[in-house]
Amino acid sequence: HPSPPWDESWPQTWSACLAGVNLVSCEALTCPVASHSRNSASLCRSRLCFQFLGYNPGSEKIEVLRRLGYRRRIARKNSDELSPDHHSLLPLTQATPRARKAEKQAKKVNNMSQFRSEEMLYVQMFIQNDAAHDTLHELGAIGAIQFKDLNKDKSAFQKMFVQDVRKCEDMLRIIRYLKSEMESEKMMSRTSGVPVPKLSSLNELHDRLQELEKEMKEHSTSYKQLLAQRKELSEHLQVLRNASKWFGQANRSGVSFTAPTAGGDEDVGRGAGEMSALLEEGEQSRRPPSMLGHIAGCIPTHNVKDFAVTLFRATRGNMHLKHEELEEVKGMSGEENELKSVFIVYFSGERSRQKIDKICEAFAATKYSLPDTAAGQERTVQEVNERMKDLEIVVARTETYRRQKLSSVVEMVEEWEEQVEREKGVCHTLNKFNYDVSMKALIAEGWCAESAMDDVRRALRAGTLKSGATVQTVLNVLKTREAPPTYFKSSKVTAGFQAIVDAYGMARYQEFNPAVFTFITFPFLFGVMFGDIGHGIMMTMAGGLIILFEKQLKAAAANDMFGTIYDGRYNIFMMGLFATYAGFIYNELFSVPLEALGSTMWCSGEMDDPSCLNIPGINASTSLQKWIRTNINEAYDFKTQQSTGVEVSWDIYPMGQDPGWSHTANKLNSANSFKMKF
Amino acid sequence: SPVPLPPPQSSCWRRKRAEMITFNLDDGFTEAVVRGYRSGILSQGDYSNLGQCDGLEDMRMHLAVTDYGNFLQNEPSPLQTMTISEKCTEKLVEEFNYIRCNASAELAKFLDYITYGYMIDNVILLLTGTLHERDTSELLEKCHPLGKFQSLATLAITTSPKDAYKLVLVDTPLAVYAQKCFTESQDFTELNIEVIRNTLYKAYLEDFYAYTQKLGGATADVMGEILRFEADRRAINITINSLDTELTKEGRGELYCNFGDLYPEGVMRLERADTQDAVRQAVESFGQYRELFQEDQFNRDKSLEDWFFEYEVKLNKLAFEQQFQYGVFYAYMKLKEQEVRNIVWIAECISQDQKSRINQYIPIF
Repeated sequence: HPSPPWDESWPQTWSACLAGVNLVSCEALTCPVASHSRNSASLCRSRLCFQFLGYNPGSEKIEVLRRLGYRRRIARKNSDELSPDHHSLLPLTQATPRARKAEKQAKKVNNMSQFRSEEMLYVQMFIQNDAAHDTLHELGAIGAIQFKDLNKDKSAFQKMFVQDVRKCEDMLRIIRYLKSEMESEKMMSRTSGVPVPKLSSLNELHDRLQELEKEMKEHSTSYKQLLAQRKELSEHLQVLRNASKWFGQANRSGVSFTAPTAGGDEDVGRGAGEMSALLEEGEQSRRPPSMLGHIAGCIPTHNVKDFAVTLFRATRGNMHLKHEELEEVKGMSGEENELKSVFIVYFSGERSRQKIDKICEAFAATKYSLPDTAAGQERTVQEVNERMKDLEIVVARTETYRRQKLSSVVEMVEEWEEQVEREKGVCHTLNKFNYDVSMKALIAEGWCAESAMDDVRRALRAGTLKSGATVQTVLNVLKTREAPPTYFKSSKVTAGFQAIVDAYGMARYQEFNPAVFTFITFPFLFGVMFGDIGHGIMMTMAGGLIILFEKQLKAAAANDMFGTIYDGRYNIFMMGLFATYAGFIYNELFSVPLEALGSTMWCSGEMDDPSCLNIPGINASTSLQKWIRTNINEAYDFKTQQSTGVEVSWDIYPMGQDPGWSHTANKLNSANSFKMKF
Repeated sequence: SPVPLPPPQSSCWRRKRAEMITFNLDDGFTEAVVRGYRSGILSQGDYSNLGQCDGLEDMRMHLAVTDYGNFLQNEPSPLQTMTISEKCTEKLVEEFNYIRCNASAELAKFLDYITYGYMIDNVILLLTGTLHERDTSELLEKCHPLGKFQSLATLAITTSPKDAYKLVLVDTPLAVYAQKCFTESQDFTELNIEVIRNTLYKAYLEDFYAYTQKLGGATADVMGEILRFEADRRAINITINSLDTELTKEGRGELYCNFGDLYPEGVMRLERADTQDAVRQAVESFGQYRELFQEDQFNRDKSLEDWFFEYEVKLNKLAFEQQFQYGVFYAYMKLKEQEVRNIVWIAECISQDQKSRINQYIPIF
């Protein structure tokens, strides 16, 4: 507070504090600021601290606070920087020398935290019922607590928040349904930049989703009916078209298939080529047109074969079946396309008609009316065409409406899904909690890293504030004999290496963490094997690029293939670096020896290598001494076989393995053995 | 007169030994898969949890933590018992088809034999349904998916056994069995469908039994026991159901399988039986069936059917005790079927608020 209206009682308080009075007794004091006195003790407590800190704390006040046990952020000189959030009041235990020593030790361990797993505390929380949801959302955001399931013995449906879980599952089901509908309309659910209006509660979302589902379902059924009608009509058209084609074909080519008729009149044995004409004739002369009956329709293509066989058996061969596969109907959206065939069966006799009718039914064939005469067919085609036209309009209108409906939510679905998933997670966690005796609070137990305790406390407070609950969440640290879980803190850089180590085995609590060394040893060993300047640089670049565009690529990491590479980007980068380094040691660039630091001092030892022949006194073909860049000519007189007194310099290759090795026959043997020993 | 089959050759040690060495070449994977499936069969604990459910939603919740997983997740509430049973069967069929796809030639044949049983059921279902003038599509929905074949629906247009055989069955694997019994040209009646069902089944069981005995080794042992029991069960059921009907004793005699523990003495006595008491006497001298009728008298809410189911479960459970044999596949299907029946029973009890009867399911493991 800028100008605290200190009254007379305050020095007393200070001195009381200085004398080591516990915080609890301080709480009992009323706040000197008039406007603050209305609040409860805990609120007042925080204000009290405010004032100390706000008032440009002198050393005396800091001392008071220290004695009081408020350890946090006192050292910070600039009080302006302090946001209210940071004034957490953490009553410590009395700062006895022993405790201080323990704290020092803890700090030491903390410095080693890279090597050891985090120190864990077994915490117990009493969360007021109303605050539970919000608190858990806050806790979930930090992800610092591993809750223990206190209801292990209860079966899934006996747990307390099972209703909420169920509701969430129902919502997810509806969202899945909506998504599938969108997919069928080829709409991609996407997250737009526009923030989705947050629905105040999940119940509201649930209601909205249910409403949507109902609407969509009703609409879908009518839409499907329309589509089915349209399909039927188009099939009918196809049947008519094919039938007239067949009739025409038969007319032209005079293909003859016998069409035995029941009446046994003069039509028997006549070529069917004349059939359509005949039938027309028949109508003209008012003869019953049923001598040679036909049934036409559509049938799923995979049924055709059995259909034909069954027809043949049922009519004892007294029929003729003609069928043709339909080309897939284009422009038909929103339905699964099954391959269909058009068929027409000619038969004779009423009994056969009954049989064939039933067979059609059994094989899921749809029959369509096919007038006997060409004129009748023309008429039907026209009729069907007209109906089709009307239907097209209705279908188009329905489809637009449907698309509108869907596009109104298309941007929100993802966000909703996330919300619901989050909520489901919260409910699942809440199911792990116990009720206290009064049923007014939930008891949660779990493991929390000591270093994260402050965050947890802050989250708890934020949760309480958000929910508007009156009672703060109480956080206790319990002693337990259970083995604490291992928790290695890792950054995004070390996560990849930690994952590799974890894949081999988890260290026990506070055991040594090998991942720290792996950060160097793993890439190094990789480099030894992979060593090549060119390939190494390429690898480094690949890793570096992913790191550079880390944020942009994050979305692509959802892909399984790329996700693995993305997660290991720092590994790849490091491995690339070490491979380059090892490449310099091997003097290799893209598997080609690199003589960057002067040419090699070795000759290859082959007879036709002229550089070998220039060495005096040495038989190039037999001698082992094959180095050339040496002053041995000056240092040793080969004629007299005496040293000249000059110091011999062998001019060893300045770095790494001499590239000359690569020309030798035992290159692989020597390099392999070298790498292995490395 | 039926010719008795040669005695099982399972005691041939050489065949057994060779089987152990070579079984895994072809069938190791599928056997491992089916044993994995087996461990997903609901346990006693699961059943007692299911029994405590207050509604079908609770059941969905609990089944989600078992091997059934999310199989109900896309079903809107309120849930129906029918949906649960359909989805359970669907899952079973999926598993069966997976095994069938991975099966070696011999095993595939064995698995096909299992489906023939369902085919017979479907054929009979369709014939009876058509006789009562039910809608064909409705009947098709009720058919077991494992026993469906392409021309099944065509059965609806047939009116006599001869017709049905010539038109439809001749193309199916059932043709061999149907040959003998689909000969009459008079129309279907309730009685002759029942007779056809039993003759079909008899032919099927005899063929299946002969096939398993031909396979030899542990398969013959395990399957022999299960199928012999199946034959006995049918014999007893046929006898009891035909006690006061117009079926003649000779006609009845033709329906008994020519193998089984009761065959031949027990079967002969069953053929002559006139009353329930005579059936009891005929069966009593066979150790495993002695308690069958005794228990029936004391414990009224446990029917004959339940006893048979229980005994069947016991035999099928035993099948898993032996390795390197095909019996596990058959046993798994039967056990899983029983499990589906159990789940449906519990679901029915819950939805009809008959919680006191919930414990009448038949526990498996």
